[in-house]
Amino acid sequence: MFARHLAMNAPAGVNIIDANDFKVWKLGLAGAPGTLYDGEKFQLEFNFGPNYPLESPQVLFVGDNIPVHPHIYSNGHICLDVLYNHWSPVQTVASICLSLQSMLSSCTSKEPPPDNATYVKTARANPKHTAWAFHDDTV
Amino acid sequence: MPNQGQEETVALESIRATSTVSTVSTVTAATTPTSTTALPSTIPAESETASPAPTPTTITKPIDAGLAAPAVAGLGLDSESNGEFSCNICFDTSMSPVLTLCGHLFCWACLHQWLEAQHQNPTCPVCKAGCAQDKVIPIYGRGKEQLDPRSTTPKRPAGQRPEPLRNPNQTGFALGTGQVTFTGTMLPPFMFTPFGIQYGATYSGTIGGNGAVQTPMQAYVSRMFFMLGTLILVGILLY
Repeated sequence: MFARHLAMNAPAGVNIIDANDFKVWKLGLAGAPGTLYDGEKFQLEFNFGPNYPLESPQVLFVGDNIPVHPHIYSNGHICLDVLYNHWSPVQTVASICLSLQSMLSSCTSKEPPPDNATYVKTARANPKHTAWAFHDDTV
Repeated sequence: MPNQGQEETVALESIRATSTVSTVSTVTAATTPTSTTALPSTIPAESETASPAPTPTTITKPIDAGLAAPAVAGLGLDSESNGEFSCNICFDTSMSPVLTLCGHLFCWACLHQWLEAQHQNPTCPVCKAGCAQDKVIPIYGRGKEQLDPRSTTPKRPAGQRPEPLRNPNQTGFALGTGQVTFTGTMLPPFMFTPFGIQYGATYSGTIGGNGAVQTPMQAYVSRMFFMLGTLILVGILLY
């Protein structure tokens, strides 16, 4: 039911792969035309905790194609403030997808985060356990 | 003046059969001059500032403003309205609705949970304006508040009731017509009549009238003339 709502309101390039329960959703995200990710397809996983929407869902890229982006680590973790300490309960899956789409689209050079290698080795599975530092307002 | 509003709407109950949220609010708006400022103002505020939070990534307003509304309409939870009166957190029609000072509508239970979770620095979930729990405005519609006995949420903060500028029970003002009619000549107590019209309009019940709210300037001028009138009266009496 909620998935149907998303289907009607999803931003361009977002499609539902699996949204049959209230705990885990899998979404497809296609790179916007005219950007560096044009034609690429990614998979997103949303994990909703019991306190959603008061607490943010766990959002990460999964699958074999993780976008190469200065704020996306190769294990799929996304450095985006609205997913962590700037979360607000009025946000929706559609608005998160839009944020991610915007983050990908405004990227000017496809390169991994500078600390990717060390982070991927030490990070825990849940990106919400990472202490993120948000420093870049441009991408 | 929530109480007055409720009484008046109850009187109209027999006229209207339907009880959708939108009709309730329009009628409350039409009958209570005080609540007109609160309810309709949520509508433009909602559509203007519905995008979440100033964030580095851009979330464009038009798209996001539409998210909450079809959310409810599409689910068939509230198919008649377009979600104008749905809670920004749970997307359902607001239960025990409250309004933040920045004009955003929530269920009290939803907003309370959020404000408790960030009690250090409570902010509005929609626009991140400061939002202390005691500054929240309850919305009293026509329907009765349904309290869940299991709920642990405290009661909503009570509405604030500012003192009226004049006692509404005072005679000399015509109610309901929007016009103040004074018969007879300028009697001493009504020396300040031209400005008394401002007061009369407050109880007129018409929406959009430009005299509905008295500005501090008008109040000041009115008071000036009252004092002047009193002075002249005293002068006449003494000499």
